[in-house]
Amino acid sequence: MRKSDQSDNAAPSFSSVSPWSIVLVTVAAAAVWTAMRWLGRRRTQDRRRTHWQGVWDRRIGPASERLAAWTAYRAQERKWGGSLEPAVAEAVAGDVREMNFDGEVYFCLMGLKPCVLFAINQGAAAVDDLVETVAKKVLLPPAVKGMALKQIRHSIVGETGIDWAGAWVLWDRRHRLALAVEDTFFNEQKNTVSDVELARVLDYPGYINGNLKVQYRVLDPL
Amino acid sequence: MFFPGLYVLNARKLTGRMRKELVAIEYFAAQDQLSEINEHFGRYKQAAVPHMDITLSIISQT
Repeated sequence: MRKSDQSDNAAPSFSSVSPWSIVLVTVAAAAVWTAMRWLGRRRTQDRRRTHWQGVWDRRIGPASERLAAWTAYRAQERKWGGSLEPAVAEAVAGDVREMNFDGEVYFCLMGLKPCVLFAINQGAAAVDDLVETVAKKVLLPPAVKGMALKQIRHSIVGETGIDWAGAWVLWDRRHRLALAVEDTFFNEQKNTVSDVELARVLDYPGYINGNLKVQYRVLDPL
Repeated sequence: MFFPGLYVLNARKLTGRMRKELVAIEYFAAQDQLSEINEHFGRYKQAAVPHMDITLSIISQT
């Protein structure tokens, strides 16, 4: 073999590859990877949605109705939070950051939580306002069948010494623990509530007191 | 070496991080309840709409 043939067939050296071709190949690979990931996720979402659609429809009525109510609630709660008077916002300063109840409301609407307790330390007036202006409009019948919302009128003290009088309870009348919710919060013969009872009706695992703070965090949708 | 693809991916991650993280559920529990917490979180994660991106955070308060 002649020397000139060898040089014709040799692989191009690294220096002969244009930087732009590397850029193009990398961008194309990233685009393909992103597209495949997006398509895969869409398929997973569709499968999951179909599964839960059946579960929701059988257990708690049309999922679309409850999802629409939750979407409306979430949007109006954000709007309400943004329009708080500075003085009110300051009064509930410790809780403003985590004042959104939309996560709890979602899981209640989806049939997991029997009830949601609308209560904020030092923010009773703000909670009343939120319930009156937002929750009552979008979370009750006819918007969502089976939901009820009521204020605790009598004194009911928990093991930690918190009096829940004045707090609002949103509950699902179709939930298997609906009667337990009513008995826990609205039985005027009872003035105390144990942590175990609270944990049961709020669907928290085990008992409420403990040294672990457990949070389920969600990303705010764009 | 310059890999623009990595920058594309990092930009995507950064966009995700810029979305505000909110607390959907908060409660207190004891150390011996970890298995119940995980089971409970699993049920909630399964019921969540996919775009919620729900994550579990356990903070020990000693």
